[in-house]
Formats: sequence, C-alpha cells, structure tokens
Amino acid sequence: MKLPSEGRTSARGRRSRRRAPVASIALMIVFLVGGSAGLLAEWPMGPANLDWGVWIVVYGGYLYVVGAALFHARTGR
Amino acid sequence: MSVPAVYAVVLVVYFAGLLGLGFWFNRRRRSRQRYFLARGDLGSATLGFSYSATQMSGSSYMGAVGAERVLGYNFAPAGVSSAAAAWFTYVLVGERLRRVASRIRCTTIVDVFEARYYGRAASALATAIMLVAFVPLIAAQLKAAGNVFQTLLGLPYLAGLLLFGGIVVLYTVVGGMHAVAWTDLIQGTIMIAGFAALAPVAVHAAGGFGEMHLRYGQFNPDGLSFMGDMPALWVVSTFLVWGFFQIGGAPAAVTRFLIPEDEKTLKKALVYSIAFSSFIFAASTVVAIAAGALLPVLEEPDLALPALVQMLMPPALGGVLVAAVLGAMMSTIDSVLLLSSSLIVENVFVPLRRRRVTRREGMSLARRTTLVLGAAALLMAVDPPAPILWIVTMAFSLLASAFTFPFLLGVWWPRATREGAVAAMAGGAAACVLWYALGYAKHGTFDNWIGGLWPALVGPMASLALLVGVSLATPPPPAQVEKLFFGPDD
Repeated sequence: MKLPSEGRTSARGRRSRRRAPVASIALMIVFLVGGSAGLLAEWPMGPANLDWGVWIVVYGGYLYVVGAALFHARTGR
Repeated sequence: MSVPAVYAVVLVVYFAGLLGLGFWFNRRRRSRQRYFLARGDLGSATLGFSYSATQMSGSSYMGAVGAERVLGYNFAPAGVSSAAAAWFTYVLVGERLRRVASRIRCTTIVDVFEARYYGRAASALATAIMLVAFVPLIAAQLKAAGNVFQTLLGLPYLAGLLLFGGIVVLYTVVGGMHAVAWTDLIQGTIMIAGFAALAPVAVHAAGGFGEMHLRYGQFNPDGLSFMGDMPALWVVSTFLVWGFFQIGGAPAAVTRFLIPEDEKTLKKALVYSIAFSSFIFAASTVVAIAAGALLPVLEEPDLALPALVQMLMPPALGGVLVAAVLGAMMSTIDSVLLLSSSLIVENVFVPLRRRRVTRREGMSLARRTTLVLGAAALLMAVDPPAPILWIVTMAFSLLASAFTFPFLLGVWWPRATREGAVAAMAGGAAACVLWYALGYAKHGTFDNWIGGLWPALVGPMASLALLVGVSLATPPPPAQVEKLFFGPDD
C-alpha cells in the first residue's frame, strides 16, 4: 500500500513521519482563547454604531480564519 | 405573472437541472464503492464546496438568519465559528484521514474506525449512533423544505414535501456521490450569488451600514454587542462548539476527506471551503441585521430570509434566492442520505452476507437501500412524532459528543485503544443525552441547559476523559495498527 509522493524526506533518503502542523494549531488556540476572551471583554464604541469587539471578533474573525486557512494550504504548517 | 408563479418557474428549471445531472452520472458504469465515494474523481472546487454545503444545513442556514435577526450580534460568534469549522477539520483530521483512506481503500468513515480500533465493536457502535441521528435529521430537513414550499408558493405541505423530497432522493439514488458533490457545487454557487445580490441591497434599503445598526438598535438595543439577551456562557459555548466540534458533529462532511488521492487537492479544497463558508456566514450576519431593521414585526421569525427576499428582490432574482435556500437543504439531505445508505450496505449488509457481492448486485443493493431510506425519511416527515424532533434537536451534540475525540485522537495518538474508543463513544453520547434530560427536567425545554452549558461541550469532555483513561488502562493497539496509521509514508 504505497502512497503517492508526499511527506518529508530525510538526508538518508528514507521517508520520515509527518510533522504536526504546529503553527496552525497555535493559530487555532489563539482563535479559540482570544475569541472567547474577546467575547467577554468590555469594548469601546467603534465605527458604524458598533463596538470594537464586534469589528474585531466577528468581522476580523472571518478574515483571520480565511488567512489562517490560506497559510496552511500554502505552507502545510 | 404572480410572484409565486415566477418562483415556481425558476424552481422547475433548477430542479430539472439537478435531476439531469443525476441521470448524467447514472450513465457511468461504476462499482458501489465509486457510487458511494467517487474516490479520486472530484476536483478541489467540487470537494471544497461539497464539504461546506454539507456542513451548512438548510434549516440552520435559514434559521441562522432568523435567529440572528432576533438575537443580533449575540448570535454572530456562532457564525464565525461555523465558518472556521472547515479550517479545524481539514487541518486536524483531513489530511490524516485521506492518507489512511488511500492505504486501506475504505468506502465509509466507519471503515476507518474499524481499521483504527481493530474490530467490529467500535464500528458497529459508530454505525448505530450515526443512523439514529441521521434518519430523523433527513426527515427534519425535508419537513423544513415542505414548510418553505407552503409559505412561499402556497403549495400544500404534502405536495411540497413529496416534490422536493422526491427530487433529492431520485438524483441521489441514480447519481450517487458524483451527483451529490456536483449538485453541492452548483447549490453553493447559487448560495453565493444569492447572498452577494441580497446583502448590498438589504444594507442600502436599511439606510447604509451605520444607519442599519441604529435602526436595528431600536428593534433590539441588546443585539448590538455580544452580551445581551443570552447568558455569557451561552455566547462563548456557541463560539467554542460550532467550529472545533464539527470534527465529530458532521460525519457526512468529514467523509469528503476520504475522496481525494493527493494532498494538493485537499489543500486547495480547504481554500474553497473556507472562502465559501466565510462569505455565506458573514453575509448572513449582515442580512439578518438588515432584516431586524427593515422587518421589526414578523409572524414567523424563522422565515425572515424569504420575507426579506420577497420585500427587496425582483421575483426572478427572488426565485434564485429561494432556490439557494432549498439548495442548502438539499445538499445536507443528499449527503446524509448517501452516508446512511453506505453505512447500511458496507458496514451492516455486506459483512453479514459472508460471500462476495458482484458489481451488479452491489450497485443494485446500493441504489435500493438509498431509495428505501429516502422513502422512510419522507414518510417520517409527513407528520414527525415527538421523539423524532427530540433526536433532531440533539443530533449535532450527540454526534459531536460521540465522535470528535475518537476521530481526533484516533489519528494523532497511537495509544488510543479499541476499548477506549467504545467507552468514549458510548459515554460521550450518554453524557450528552443526560445533560439534555437534566436541562429538560429543570427548564421544561431541550433548548435550555443546566448553567447554560451546552451538551455539545459536556458530552465531548466526558468522551475525552473516557478515551484517555480507558486507553491507558487497557493493552496498547496491535503493531500493525500503529504502522498503518502512524508509520512513515513508505
């Protein structure tokens, strides 16, 4: 059951075990912990009659997940 | 021509297209494995859209606008989290499931369980839990579609149900996964086009982005920040649950990871999934706030989206948006129906039969099972009994409780054992049901829970504790399992 060419190759030419996507996991922790804290924080009023919390956690949150997914798709990390 | 008549014309064209697609794929000669999974046949756009369209059920899509109109930004964190679900699942389990699926040549997600947890105990339990949740879920989606037909087209509920259900079941039966995935792509594209047209029109009608919020504030002053009508724990729970716990909560979507044969397709699919779901959830937030500003009084809050469409859009474009709403329901029904059918055929019938099933027999069996299951769900949707509705309320939490950690640790922790997985699935599901029951005993409803703590958080935590505890107390998995799931690529 051979796999198509993928995975990392060591200096000896043997395929090694895959690494965990540590950077993406760190971004996920920031998203979950930071987002939860952001929901509970008091925020000053921002533009368009919305507080800054909504701008950062909701609308910024969408940009964050799109950016993080692009990062993983490009780097695999 | 009246508005319902225009909607009807658009829907007839749309449904005819979907059926045509189903019959187009029916022309190919296939094995039942390709019918159920279409391994290697789908490109990244089809795969990515299919994942997200399956994850976003139609009633939650329409219900999300309805709920967000009432709750405002209290509900918005659930949308962001739902958009992030694709990111969590692709990164944490997607690539590993794809690699294992290529190695063991599996057809269903439960086959992966059987290989990882070495034996039938875990796979039989997984099949049972999924089927208990799925069949009522299909019935509930069909019922929601029947209601949309009744409200928007003035069609009797039964006629709408049979028309809509008949079309979904038919194209799924004849076209299998190819038809399901391609119709998901079309439905997803229509959903994007629909929201891209509606959102700016709605904001403009509400007086612009800032004015829209001022007007919404008159309708619901507490809805302009996170903490308003709902308790803090509820808001944080929705944010935590709807993203990460989709790993276990949406097995029909996770099945998409078994399809691609290379890593590149999967990574590109992630980009399509995340772009699609982020756009839809962000746009639905804007549309919901506009609905609150423009339609402060509504008899049926769940129908805020169709009401807004009728108010703002020309009938032909409105018909496309109604098709988008129905398409979202269809894309969940077809995927769940196909997965349920594959579980019955591949994980129940074929193992019990104990002799080789020919290609012709296999295809006939696959189609007949899909047809019978679809007909059963349609029958159930005619007048769903109360226990069916209870199961639907609990379905996501139940699946998330039973499967999130057995999936996740199954591909990341070599020490996870069969005994641990069985305990985790059974215990997680039981803890979830118990938490619902305790909430019901205290509040008289399944929608309010002890301390506001969602069963979809309690169940998975119990499942995680059992998986780790029981695995460490039982002998480690056989060496071949470790090699298959965690060994080097060669």
